[in-house]
Parts: sequence; C-alpha cells; structure tokens
Amino acid sequence: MNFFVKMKGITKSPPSVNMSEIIWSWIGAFIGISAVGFVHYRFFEQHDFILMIGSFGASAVLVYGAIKSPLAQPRNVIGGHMLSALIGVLTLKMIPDPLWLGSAVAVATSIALMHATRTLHPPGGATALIAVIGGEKIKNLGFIYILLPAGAGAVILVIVALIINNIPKNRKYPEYWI
Amino acid sequence: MKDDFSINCIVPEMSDDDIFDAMKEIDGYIDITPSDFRELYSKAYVHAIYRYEHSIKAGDIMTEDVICVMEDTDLTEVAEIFAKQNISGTPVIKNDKTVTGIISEKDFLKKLIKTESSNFMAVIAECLAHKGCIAESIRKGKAGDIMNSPVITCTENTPLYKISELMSSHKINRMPVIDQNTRITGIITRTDIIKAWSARIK
Repeated sequence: MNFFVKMKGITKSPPSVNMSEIIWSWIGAFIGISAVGFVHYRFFEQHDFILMIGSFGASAVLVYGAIKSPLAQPRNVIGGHMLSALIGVLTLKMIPDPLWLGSAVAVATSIALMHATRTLHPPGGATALIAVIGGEKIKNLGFIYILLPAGAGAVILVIVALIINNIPKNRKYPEYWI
Repeated sequence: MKDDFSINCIVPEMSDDDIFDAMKEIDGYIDITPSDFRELYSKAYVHAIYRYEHSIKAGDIMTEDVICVMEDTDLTEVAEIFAKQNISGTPVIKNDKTVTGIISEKDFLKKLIKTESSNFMAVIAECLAHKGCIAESIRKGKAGDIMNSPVITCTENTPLYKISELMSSHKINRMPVIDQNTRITGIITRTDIIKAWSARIK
C-alpha cells in the first residue's frame, strides 16, 4: 500500500457502548481507584509514590472500560506493570543521566518486554517511566518498586475488577488468566 | 502450510458495516476494528475448511452398498440397471470384487456419438436424423468394451480435500473406494460430497 494512502485509514470506528456499560465502567473505576488511592495515600504519603496513581488511572480505563480487551486481562495488568517496573528500575541504575535518554530506553524496552512476554498493558509504559523520573524516594526503593507500589496496585485493580465486572449479567471478567 | 489446499475457498463477502452492526449487538466495548475482524474471519474460515477437509475421510461419507457390474455384463443389462436404480454410473468389478473399470452414461453416449459433443441431445439429434435408434450399434457390447480403465480410486482413509481435488481435476462424478487389495468397499459420488458439506452446515 502506498505510504500516504495508508494514512487515510481503511475502516470505520467501532460503535458506541450502551448506557449500562458506561455506568458500570464508572462504578468499577471509582471503586478500583478508590482502593488503590486509599492504600497509596494511607501508606505512601510521599509525593513520589503518588505519581504512580497516574499509571493506575490508565489501567482503570482498560480494566473497567474495555474489560474484554486482551490488554485488560489479569495476566497483562499484573505482568505488564511488574515487568515494566523491573525495566524502569534497571534503566535508572544503568542510565541515571541524561533523564530523556533513560526515559526513552525505559518506555521503549518495557513495550518490547511486554510484547515478548504477551503481557502488553499500555500503562506499563508509565510505570517504567515513573521509575526513571520519579525522584529520590522511588530511586531509594530499588527493586521493591516492582512489588510496591507497582505490583500491589495492579493486584488491587484486578481484584476489584473480578468483583465489580462480574456483577452485571452481560459482563464477565476475565477472558483468560494465562 | 496450506500449499496442498487446492480448492479456492469462497468466503462469504462481509462488509465492515455488517461487522459494525454485529458489534452493536454485543454488549461491552470490543477492542477491535471492523476491518481487523474481517481479516481474522476470512483467515479463520480458511483454517476451518482446511481442518474439516482433512478430518473427514472417504470412509465417513462413502455409500457402502455399491451397485456394480462385471466386465462381461451385457450393455443392455447395464442400461437396465442404470434405469431401474436411477443411477448414472457404476464401477466394473471382477468376481473377487477388485475394481477394473468404471462405466457411466457418458461412456454410452461417447460410443453412440462420434462427434465432439457426446451429450444426450446429440443422441436425440442423431436419432432424429437417422430415423431410428442408434443404440443398435452397441446391442452386442459388454461393459468391458466401453468402460473407463484404469480408474481413479481412493481408500477409506483418503481425506475429503483429496477426494474433491481428484474429482475436480479428473472431471469425474464418482470414485470407487477400495481396500489394500483393490477390492471395492464403497463409492463416493458428488452427492456424497455435497451431503458431507450440508451435514456440516446444519
């Protein structure tokens, strides 16, 4: 296909969801982020930890708003966040400076690793990025960052999704575990 | 991988609008574009046909009670059998049930008509022109005289795709199914193949 013709697009966008889907997405995200936020504000009051909630906000879009997507499945959510966290921590250790380079390497490598391990989860990119740009406190966490806050937050989101997404008759979660 | 899959699958034409409408019928956000789905569907369809054509074997769809004639059966009798049983061809076998040839309406017509198009209307035309029955010329013939030999055959383990391929490439309507000693165990006609597909569709 011609390079520029490709830019025209080839199909129409998917249809809109119905009202019940919108409401349940809202409820799921509200409870999921409440739970993650509560744990984070309660136990990690330092600003650097709070940064991490941004990454979980993105996860909530998938886990409560696009629950059938492969990107939103437990394997992807938990695996994606933890593997990206690992990449972020490693990148900071190896390329502490300049920041732009560390950021780029962390995000790009986390995407590659998530693809290779079939755990692609877009917010993982933010998790890897935050490990690099998050400042002293996150740097001091070292590899603990993978478990807290990254792993723990992902697990909380999935637990809430398992409960909330299975309440309505026409919704079910997950599509798969492994 | 699909190199031996010679039959061109006709995937029902499906538009992005059809898929869009189907997506509307499913609750929840579906994380795929209509064109991605269409591509997936057409590829999956080819895989499904491939799998089916490889899993169904001649033994599964053949007709076991085969009407056969011998090489020395009189053509008059062969014609009567065709008429009575309402069939258009039979395998020709020996006493030990080994298949030696196959005989069909077409072989009769070919024998009666020497022109290029040996179809039923050509026979009618010939009869009208000669004011008489032209079948007289083969009255004394035997099945062995006009049968087709050697025969394209298959075994009970031949997969459906191979049978379709053979019947289509040799332009034949029926194929005797034989065992390892070339003895007849059944026959597959085009009707059997259509049945195999329609059974699947149900």
